[in-house]
Amino acid sequence: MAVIEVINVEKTYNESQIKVTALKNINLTIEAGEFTAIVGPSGSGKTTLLNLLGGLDKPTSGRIRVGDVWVDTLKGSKLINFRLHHIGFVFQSYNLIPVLSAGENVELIMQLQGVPAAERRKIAYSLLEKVGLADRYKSKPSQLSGGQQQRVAVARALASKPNFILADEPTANLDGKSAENLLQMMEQLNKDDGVTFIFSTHDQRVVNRAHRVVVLEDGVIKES
Amino acid sequence: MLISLSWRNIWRNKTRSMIVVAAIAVGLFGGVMAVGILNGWINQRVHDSIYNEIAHVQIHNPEYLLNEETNLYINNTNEILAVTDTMKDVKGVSARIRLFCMAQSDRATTGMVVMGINPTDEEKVSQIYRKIIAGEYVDTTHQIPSIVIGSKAAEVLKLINYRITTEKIDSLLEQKLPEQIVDSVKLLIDKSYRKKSALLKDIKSILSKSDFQKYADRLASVFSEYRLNKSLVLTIQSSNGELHYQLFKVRGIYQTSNSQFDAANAFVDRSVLAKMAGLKPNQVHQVAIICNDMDKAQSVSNELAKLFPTVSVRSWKQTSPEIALYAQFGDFMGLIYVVIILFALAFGIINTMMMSVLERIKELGMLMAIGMNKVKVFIMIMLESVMLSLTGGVVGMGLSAVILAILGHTGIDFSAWSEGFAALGFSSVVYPSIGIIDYIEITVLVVLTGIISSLWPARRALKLNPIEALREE
Amino acid sequence: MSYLKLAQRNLWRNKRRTLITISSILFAVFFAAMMRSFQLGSYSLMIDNAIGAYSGYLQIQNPDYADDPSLDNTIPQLEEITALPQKVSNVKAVVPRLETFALASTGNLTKGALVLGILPESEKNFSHPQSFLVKYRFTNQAVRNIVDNPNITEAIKSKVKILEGEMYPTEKKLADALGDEAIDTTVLNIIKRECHYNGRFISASDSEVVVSSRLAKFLNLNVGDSIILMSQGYHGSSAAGIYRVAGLVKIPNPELDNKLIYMPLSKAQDFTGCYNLVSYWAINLKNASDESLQNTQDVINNMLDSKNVTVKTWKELNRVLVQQIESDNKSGIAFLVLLYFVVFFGIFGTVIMMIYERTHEFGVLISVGMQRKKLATLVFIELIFMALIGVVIGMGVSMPIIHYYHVHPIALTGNTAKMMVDMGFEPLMPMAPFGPYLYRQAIVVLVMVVLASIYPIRRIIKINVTDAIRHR
Repeated sequence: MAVIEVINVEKTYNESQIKVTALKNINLTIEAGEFTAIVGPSGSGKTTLLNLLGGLDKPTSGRIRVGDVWVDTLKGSKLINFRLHHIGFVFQSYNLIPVLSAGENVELIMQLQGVPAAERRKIAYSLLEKVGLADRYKSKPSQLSGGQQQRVAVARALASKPNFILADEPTANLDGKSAENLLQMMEQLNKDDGVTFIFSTHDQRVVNRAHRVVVLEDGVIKES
Repeated sequence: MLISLSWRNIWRNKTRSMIVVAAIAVGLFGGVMAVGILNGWINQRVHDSIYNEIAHVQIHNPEYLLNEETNLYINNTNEILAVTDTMKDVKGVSARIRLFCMAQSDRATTGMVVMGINPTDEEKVSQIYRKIIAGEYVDTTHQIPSIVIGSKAAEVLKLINYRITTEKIDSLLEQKLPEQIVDSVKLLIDKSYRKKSALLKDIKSILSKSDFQKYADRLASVFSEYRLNKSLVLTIQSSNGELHYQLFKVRGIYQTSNSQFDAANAFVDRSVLAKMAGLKPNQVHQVAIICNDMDKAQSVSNELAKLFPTVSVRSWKQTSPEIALYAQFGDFMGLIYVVIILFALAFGIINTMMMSVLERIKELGMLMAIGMNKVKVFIMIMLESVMLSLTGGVVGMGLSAVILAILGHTGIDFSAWSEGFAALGFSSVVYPSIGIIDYIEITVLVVLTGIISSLWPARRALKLNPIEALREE
Repeated sequence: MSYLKLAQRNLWRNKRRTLITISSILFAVFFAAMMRSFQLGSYSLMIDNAIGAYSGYLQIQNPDYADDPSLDNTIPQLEEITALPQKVSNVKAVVPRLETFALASTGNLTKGALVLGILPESEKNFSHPQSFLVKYRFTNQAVRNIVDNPNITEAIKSKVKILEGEMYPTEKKLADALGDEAIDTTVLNIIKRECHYNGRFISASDSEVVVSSRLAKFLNLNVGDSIILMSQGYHGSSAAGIYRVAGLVKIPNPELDNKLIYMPLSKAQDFTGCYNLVSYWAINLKNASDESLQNTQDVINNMLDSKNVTVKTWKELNRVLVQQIESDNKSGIAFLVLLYFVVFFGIFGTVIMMIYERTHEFGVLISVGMQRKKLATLVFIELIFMALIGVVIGMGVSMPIIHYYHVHPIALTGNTAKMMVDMGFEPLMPMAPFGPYLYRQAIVVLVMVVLASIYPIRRIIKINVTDAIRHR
C-alpha cells in the first residue's frame, strides 16, 4: 500500500482579493521505502506541497490519503494527533527546544504520545546511538553543531515511529561536510530500516542522492 | 513533563524573570504584612472586647434592653445560676447590677455606668482585675465602700496629680522613648502639678512642637499620680424612682486599651449597690458568662435561651455585632489589599508572558506541527505564568512569614497615635499575626493571578498557524 | 520629522506593549485617586461633623478651660469678643456657648446629657441645628393609625411596625427609611400625614429646650413632655430645673445625637448660675486649610490680647481626632507607596524589555547616522508620552466618579453602618472634591517613569553598534 496518495489536489489562496493558484492538478503516489526529493524554484509550490503532505494545510480541492486515513477530512486535535503518531518532521531550523537536552528533545515526542518514562529513555538512547550521538544525550542544543542538531532532529522524528519523514530543506543551513554527513546518515536509515524520506530541497546534493525526483514548476508537476 | 518544560522556559531570560519575581515578592510582602497587622489589631480588639467588656454571653430582662431602668432586673436569677453552674463549657459567671449614675469628686462631676459585682465571681469573667494600674481591685473589707474606676474617668474627675520623679523618668527609658526627649524632661525633675494644663505648658516649653504633639500624652500618662482614697459621691435612681446618694472611696484605677470603656465604667461591691438601689440580693440586671472557648459561646447561649425563654440571652456576636464584624471586616480588607496588589502585578506578568510567547513563535509552531495539541500548548503557557507568580509569591510570603514571626513577638509600636487608637479601643502596640488559612487564601489568589495573566498570551500562542510560524524569512 | 511624530509612530507600532504599559499606569493613577479621594472625603466628613457642625475651627476660651472644661473657667460675655473677630475676613460666623454636663431625667429614666446654651439666631448660621428639626416620627399613635389604614400594603405595614419610635428631619429620609422600592405617592402622603410631628426650634426668649433624637428615644420623650435637668452649677452651687420639650433634632453625628440638649443661652445661664458668662465662643472659617487656620488664629489672638482669653484651633482641642486622621492617613499613604513600588517595577521591566526588543533597530539607526543622544531623547519622549496618556486617562476616568460620589456619598447600611455609628462616625462614604491630591498622583507617576527610564536610556547611549546589529 502506498504511504501517501495525492489525488487531483489543487491549492489556491485569496491574497488581497486576487486568486493565486499555488498547486494544480497534483497527482502523486509515494510508496514505502522511497527516498524522494521534490524540487523546484522558489514559488513553484514546493513548500505548499510539503505542507499538504504533512497535514499542516488542507487542499482547496482533491484528496490526500496517508496510510488508510484520508487526512484532508481530519480536523483540529484529531489532525494534530494524527501527525503526532504518523508523520515525522525535520525542519530547516528550530527543530529542537533549547531548554531541553538532546535526549529530552527525542523523548519529548514520546512523552506527547504517552509512552512511559523508562521505555522512552531506552528508545531515545538507542535512536541517538543510531544517529551517532549517544554520547551527547545530555547536551543542550546550543552545545551542538548545526549538523549535530539536525541529526538529533532526525532521531526525534524517528522516535514517533512515523509512516514517513518529511524534511523541509534540512541541509540549507549546513556547511558542505555536515550536509554530506547528514544525507549519508539518512540514506543509511532508508537502506537499513526502510524509513521513507520525502525531501523538499534546492540542494543538488540531495537531488543526487534521491532515488526519485519530483519536479514542480508553477504549481504543476513537470516530471516524476 | 510539561511542568519541567514550563519551569525551564521561565528562566530563558533570567533578567526579565527576576524583575517580575522581585516585583511579585515585594508586592506580596507588603500585602501579607498588611494582612498580618490588620489581623493583629482585630484579634486584640475582639479579645479585649470579650475579656474586658462584653464576655461571651450576656443575659438580661428583655425590657431592660429597651429602657435601662433600675427596676427592670432579671426575675429568675437563681434558677439561671443553678443551671450555669452545671454547664461544662462555662468557665465563669458573674451576676451584676448595672446602673447609670452621676459621680462627683472634689474637683469635677461626670456621668458613668456603675456595676455592682461580686469580686470573686467577676474575676472569672472579666480581666479588669488584672488591669489595675494604681491601688487595688474591689475590696469588700472597708467601712466606706470601694469604687474602682477607669484611668480616663480618673482624668475627667481630676483624680490625678502629675509628678516628675526619677523612677518615672527611668521608666520612660524602659519604654524606649528617644534619649533626647528624656534628657529634656529631666529639666523638670521633682516638679509636681495639680492640673494637666500646667504640666503640658511646661512640657511644651522644653520640647519642639512636633515632639510635643507626638509625646505629650505619653509623658502625661507616665507622670500621672493617681489620687487614691479620695471620695466620690455617686447619685443613682433607685428601684422606686428616688434619688440616692452614697459616698465611696476611689481605691483602684484600671486601664484597658479602650479609653471610652475606661471613661464610662466603674465597679463597686454588689451588696453595697443593691442596698443603695433598693434591690434584693437576687435582683440583678445582667448575668455575664465566659466560656472555655470562643466557639462554645453560641451553643451555650442557645441552650440557655431554650431553657429560659423569658429572658434575653445573647452571645457576644449579638451583643456587639460590630465586634463580630471587625473580625470579618479585617479578613476581607486584608484580602482586598492583596487583590489590588496582584492586579497591579498582573500587568507586569502579562507583559512578560507575552514577550516570552512572541519570542518563541517558531518553536511553538514547531511543537504544534510535530503533534503538541492546543490544550497542551495552553497548559504549558499557563503553567509558566503560574510558576512565575508562585515563585515570587513564595519568596514574598516566606520573607513576610519570617518578619511577621519576629514582629509577632516584639510588637509594632504605634504609640505616637496612642490616644487616637485608645479612643476606638485599639491598643497602640500591635502584635501582627497571620494564620495558615490566610496563607492558603493568598496562595490561591497568586495562582489565580498567574492563570488569568496567561490567558491573553496563551490565546496569542494558540492562534499561531504552524505553517506561518515556520516560514523562513 | 518631529520627535513627537516619531514617538507616536513607534508607540503605535507595538500596540500590545504600549497598551499594557498605559493600562498599568492608568490603573495605578485611577486606583490611587479613588482611594485618596475616599480617604480625604471621610476625613473632611469627620471634621465637618465634629468641628464644622459643632465645636468650630477656632474657639475663644479661658486659658484654663481646655484642660478643665468646667463652669469655673467660663469667660464674661463681652460684646467685643463677639464683634471683633467678625471683622476678620476669613471668619464666617462667631457664636457664644455655655456648655455643661447634666443628668436628664423623665422620672423613671435618667441619662447623662450635654446642655448647650446657644443664641438660636446666631447658631442658625453656624451649626444650623434648625435644619435637623424632626418633622416626622413613627409615634405609637401614628403606627397604630397606619396599621389600621386599609389602603396600605402589608409589606409597608410590617416595615412601619419595626420603625416605631424612629424620627426624621426630612421627607426624603422618611421615604428612604421605608425601603428601596418606590412607594406610591398617595401611600407616602398618608404616612407623612400620620407621622407629622409638631415640633419647633427654640428662640432666644424661650424657656423650653430642644433634645437630640437618640437621647429623646432613650428617655421616651415627645414634644410637650417635661424633662428634669440636674447639675453642678457655678462654684459648686447646685443646678436644677424642669423644662418643656419644644422640639427634637436628629443630628448627623451619632455621638452628639446621643446627648445634646439645646437651651437658650440666657436660660442656661440661669440654670447654672453663670450670669453673663459663657464657656467659649466657637468660630467657623471660610477657608479652613492649615495655613489659613494658623493665620486667623494669630490674628484673633492679637486682637483679643488684653482680654485674658486665648484662641485655640480644633487641632489643639481635639487631639484624638487629629491622631485618628493622621494614623489613617499614614496607613493609606503606606499602601499607596507599596502600590507605586509595584507599578514602578512594572514600568522598569517594560522599559528594559522595550530596549531589548529594539536593540537591533537602535543599532541600525545609530550606524546610519542618528546621534545617540537624539535616539535616547526619542525613546524618553515615547515613555513620557505613554505616561502622560495613562495619567490623563486615569484622571479623566476618575474625575466624573469622584464628582458623583462627592455630591452623592455612598450610604453604608447594615452592620457596617452600625459599626461606624458605634465608633461615632456618620455611616457615609463621601469622596473629596477635586484637589491637589489628584495632581499629586499624576506627578508621582511621571516622576516614576522618569526614574525608571534612567538606567535603560543610559544603556542606549552606550550601545555597541556592531553587537546591536547582529542581535537576532
